[in-house]
Amino acid sequence: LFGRATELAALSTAWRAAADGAGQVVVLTGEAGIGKTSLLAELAHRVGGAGGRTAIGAGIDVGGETPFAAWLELARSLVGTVPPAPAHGSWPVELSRLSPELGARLGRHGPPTAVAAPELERLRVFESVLRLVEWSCADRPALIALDDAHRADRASLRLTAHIGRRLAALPLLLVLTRRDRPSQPDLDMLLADLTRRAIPVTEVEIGPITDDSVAALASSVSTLDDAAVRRVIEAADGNPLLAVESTRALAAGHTAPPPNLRTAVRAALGVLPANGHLLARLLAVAGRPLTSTEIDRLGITDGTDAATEGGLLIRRDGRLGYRHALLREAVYADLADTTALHDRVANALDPGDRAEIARHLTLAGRPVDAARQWAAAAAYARSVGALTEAAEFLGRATQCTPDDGSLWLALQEVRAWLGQQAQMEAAWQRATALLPEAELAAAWCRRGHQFRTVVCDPAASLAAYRGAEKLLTEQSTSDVRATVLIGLAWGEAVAGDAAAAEGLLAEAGDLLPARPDPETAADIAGIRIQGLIRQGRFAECADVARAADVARLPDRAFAVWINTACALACAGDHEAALAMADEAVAATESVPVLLVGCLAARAHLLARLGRHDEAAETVRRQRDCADRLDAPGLAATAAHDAGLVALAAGRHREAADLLGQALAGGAHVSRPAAALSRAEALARCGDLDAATAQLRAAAMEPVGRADQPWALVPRMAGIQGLIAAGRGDHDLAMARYDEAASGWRRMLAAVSEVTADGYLANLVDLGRPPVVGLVEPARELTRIERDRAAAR
Amino acid sequence: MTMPSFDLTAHTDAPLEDVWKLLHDPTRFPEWWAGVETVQAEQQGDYTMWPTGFPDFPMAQRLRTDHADGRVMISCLVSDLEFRWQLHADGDATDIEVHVDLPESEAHRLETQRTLLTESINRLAELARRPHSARR
Repeated sequence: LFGRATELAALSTAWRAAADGAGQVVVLTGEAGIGKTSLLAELAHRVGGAGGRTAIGAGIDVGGETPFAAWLELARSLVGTVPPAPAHGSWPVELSRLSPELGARLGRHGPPTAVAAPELERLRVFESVLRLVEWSCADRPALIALDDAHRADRASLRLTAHIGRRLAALPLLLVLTRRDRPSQPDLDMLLADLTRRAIPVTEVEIGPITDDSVAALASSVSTLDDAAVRRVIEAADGNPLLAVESTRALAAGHTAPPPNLRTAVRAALGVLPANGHLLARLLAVAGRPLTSTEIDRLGITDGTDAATEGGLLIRRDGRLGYRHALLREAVYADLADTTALHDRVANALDPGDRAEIARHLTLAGRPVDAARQWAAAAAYARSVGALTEAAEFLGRATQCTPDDGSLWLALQEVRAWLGQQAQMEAAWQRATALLPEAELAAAWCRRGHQFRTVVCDPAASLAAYRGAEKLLTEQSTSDVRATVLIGLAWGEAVAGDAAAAEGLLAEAGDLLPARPDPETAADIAGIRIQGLIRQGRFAECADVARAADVARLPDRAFAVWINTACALACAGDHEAALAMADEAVAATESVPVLLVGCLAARAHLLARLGRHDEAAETVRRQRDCADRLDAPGLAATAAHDAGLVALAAGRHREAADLLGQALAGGAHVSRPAAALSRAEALARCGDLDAATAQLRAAAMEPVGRADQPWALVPRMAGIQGLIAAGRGDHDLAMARYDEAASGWRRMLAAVSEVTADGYLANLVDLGRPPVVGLVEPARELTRIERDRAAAR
Repeated sequence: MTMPSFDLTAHTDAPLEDVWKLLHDPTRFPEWWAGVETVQAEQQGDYTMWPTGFPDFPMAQRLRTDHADGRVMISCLVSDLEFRWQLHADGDATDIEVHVDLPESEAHRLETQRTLLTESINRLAELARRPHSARR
């Protein structure tokens, strides 16, 4: 390495600090060819020599990147060097979401447990890779680097940000290299975010090397006379890549340095034998270095040595590629017809790189094969929660084969997950127009399921399943018939005639095997529980939950145990409800994004039982877990839950602060209810002006049925009573308390009906365990009477 | 073609919260909403109103509040009438607005509705002003 003493010193300083436990980020920025990769390689060499662990991945911009491609490369590198994974952790299995070989190399074979929602999949990928990174620097400090970060796929950048935010306490140096232009907004945002969060980020500008360094570099490549060295210095302008290419050209007998890289690579290619020339062209088309297996599949026997000896290609980490991306780009720009080359590369690539293969097949003029690969790439992207990429891939698939209805059906589902209603409907219209009649019932079932889950519109779901029912024919399979009945049962359970759900499930049971697959069995149990709740038959839920086999299905376990916990809380059996919440916590330990909700339920039940210290400890764990997930909404929701636990324990100021954070942070809770709770906390700690203002803010919040407006009105009156009492207006306070008590008494008559309804509305609209949403009119009435007595 | 509609306003010395409570408690509608005799809460948060003099003519309603400054929407699911109530705090007093949309098919009821709502908004303003009148 020539002329980089200053930059190396900066990197060494950062490494020493990181190795001592002060994790940090270094960004190497400079123009193409300036030597970023070489500098990084030198740093990695030194870190390795000092006993540190190193892993380098590279961003690859080939126009069809597999989501998390850069981190997949890093993870592959890390799993090869880390100590055996701890026996109790589930993260090695979760890593297999990215690629099955990752878990296997850590001694954990088999697939990770299924989760239906893409957002959960993405969070699980994030968590498992973060765990791997933490594990990789548990026994020694580590250097993890993302070379050419400006080319990295979007999902990898998001994951880099996730990990970057957590490295301050790790012995980890994260290095990113990037070109100085054009600007890369995703990368800029990532760095701005880290800086805003006080993560140490050092930017090292890599400028031109000095003339003396260029001369030294030229001399290291070839022996030139002084005049030739001067010509190299003049041509390179401090750029090491140009210096090397100019030196090679002059050493090869050219009278002057090449005017540009394109000319230089033409010269280098010109001296290669036929096989070497072909290999160079194929690698230019591939867009990234290829593995030995991929090179073998290209079917070129000779030529590799000549190409590497000529300096154009290089072997790094078992892969063969261009010495620099600029050289590859220069070769590619000179290719006249690439169709056959893309075809050959498509057949040689690792079959797991579906998006890349699809792109090459598209460019090779094989649209049908390309569409199949784009669809497979979309399915993978969907499985790791990369929905934007999934939509892109399916969009390309539909361009390749626009008359394939199944592709439009898959696309409409991804659009639904992305919340793109209009595009979802457009894709649905295309799908139904193109699908054969025999497949329409199943398509309507899929749509019904979509409305059951992502879109969350019970009425629309019911309508879709009814549509499917009408399309059933004698040829329809038992599976489809059972799916229709189960879908109808859910719609009836949550939004129609709840009592009818059981009959529909029994009909479905007649069509299913004696032991249905676990997913279906768990679905049926979940629907049964919802139907029972809706009918106010709370206590019966426990038996259904205990009979459900959800051990391998954390998301189903979450729904079954937590809904049952809520049902038992509705029935007033809080001890039994807590036991169910504990089951839920145990079943979701490996899935933090589900675990947070289970901890919330547990905390509220503990608070309800007056076990305030345990409740506080549980919400502390919930908040830690939510923070780690890097989802602001979950963190705000956890703050809300902690606020309610504090309010129940009488820690009013703390409650007000936490609920304020929750409201400002967009917690996914009933906002008017949260606003009223904060107003109550403020009133109870004597901050009456703030309480009055918060009460007014509560009245400005949107109210839907999940907010149980019938409960908001007497609650507001009760808080008005607290404020009036605090201001010494005895008569007004009594009138407010009477008004509140009157409201709660009216509710008592219909307590199970309104509670069940409110519960289900909470579940469907807020999608979280609504223990917190359960309102107990009798208890509220007691509280009002206590406040009234205190004010007398 | 524009939908038949009208707007009414009223002012009350009551704080906004007291008007809000009356608007969010359908069981109290008969106390101020002219032409509403009985209200019964239903499943799913909806409720049914029986117009005065029509005990056999239940009208399903839906109540919600949207994001625009706490605007309270009450939709009649039978007749498609939509009432958009909006409250503006004026210190400890409140300005009340109501915008009523009628479908073309109900255009003939415009004047009747205007008369009923004029009476209703004034009764709402008056009722909200009397916290001691809270139902016991």
